[in-house]
Amino acid sequence: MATAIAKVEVSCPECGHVQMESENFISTVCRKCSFYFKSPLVSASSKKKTHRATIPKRELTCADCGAVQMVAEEAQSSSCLECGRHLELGHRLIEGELLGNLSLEGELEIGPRGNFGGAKARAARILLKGRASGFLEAAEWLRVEGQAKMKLGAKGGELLISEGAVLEAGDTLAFQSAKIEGELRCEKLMVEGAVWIGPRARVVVEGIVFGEMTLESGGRLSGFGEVKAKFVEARKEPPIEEKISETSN
Amino acid sequence: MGLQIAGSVGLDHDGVIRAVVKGDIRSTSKLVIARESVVSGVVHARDIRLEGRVEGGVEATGQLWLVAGSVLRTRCVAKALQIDAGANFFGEFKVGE
Repeated sequence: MATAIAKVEVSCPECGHVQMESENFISTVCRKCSFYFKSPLVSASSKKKTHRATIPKRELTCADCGAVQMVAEEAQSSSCLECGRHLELGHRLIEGELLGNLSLEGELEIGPRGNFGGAKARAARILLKGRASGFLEAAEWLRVEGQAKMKLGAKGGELLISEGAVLEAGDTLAFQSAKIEGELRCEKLMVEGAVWIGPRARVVVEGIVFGEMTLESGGRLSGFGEVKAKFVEARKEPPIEEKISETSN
Repeated sequence: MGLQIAGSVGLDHDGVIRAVVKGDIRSTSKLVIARESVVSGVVHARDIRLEGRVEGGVEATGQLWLVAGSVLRTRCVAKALQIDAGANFFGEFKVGE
């Protein structure tokens, strides 16, 4: 047996005619004047504003075309709105052998037993503790810890070799700046800006090209070098007495 | 540059070279090779500040400082090294070895 639907009295907001409607009605038509009206309960609830949670976003630059877009901070991947390139945003840890190319907007870590065996890996930041058979490109920095080897070269923002770390590279390393506190052996080191070589560092290169260099007492450097010619405004020179005292510091 | 020296120069105090030297310079102390000075030989000293030009290389038992505008060729031996942007060096490094 069907249960009876509970009814309620509803009055038309236009003509005041009273009629019976289901208690859950959403809208109806006045049977006297044909005016269409909604249930007062529904219209009251529909006025409630829905508050969407604000998603924190960050700027993302496409590695291929350079287009800038906003993506959710926690997003793991996205596609460039301009060129359609797939952008992997997360971090990646290589603990074994990885073949194939990589392109990350996040951080790539190659562990002590890891080997990047692809042709090229690109990431914002690369932490190298193991080996890389392919070329590495670190937009922000490449930091070396432990005993690391590169079969090919690398390029990027800043090259950081931590104290106690050793990097052997078979080809050219090209960076914007370099801070070397450990040991570096490579064919050619090209640094557009400043090279800082710490007091416990050891650098053995066949060729080094740089903008400026500081080598702290205790640090070691051997190889063939060249300062890249660069226009620099003449500095105001201190008096000779000061120069002599400066050299003693 | 008015003064020209043909032959080697020896110094046992801090000194400033303002000359064209066609030979080596040896100092047991600190030495400044002033701007526009040209040394065609090798410069040996404890600490060296190079503002001018040295063609034969420098050997500093202490610190070597190449300021902007300086030119160094052939060889660079030192214990500690500072090369400013705008300095010109081309040659072999042997620093801290």
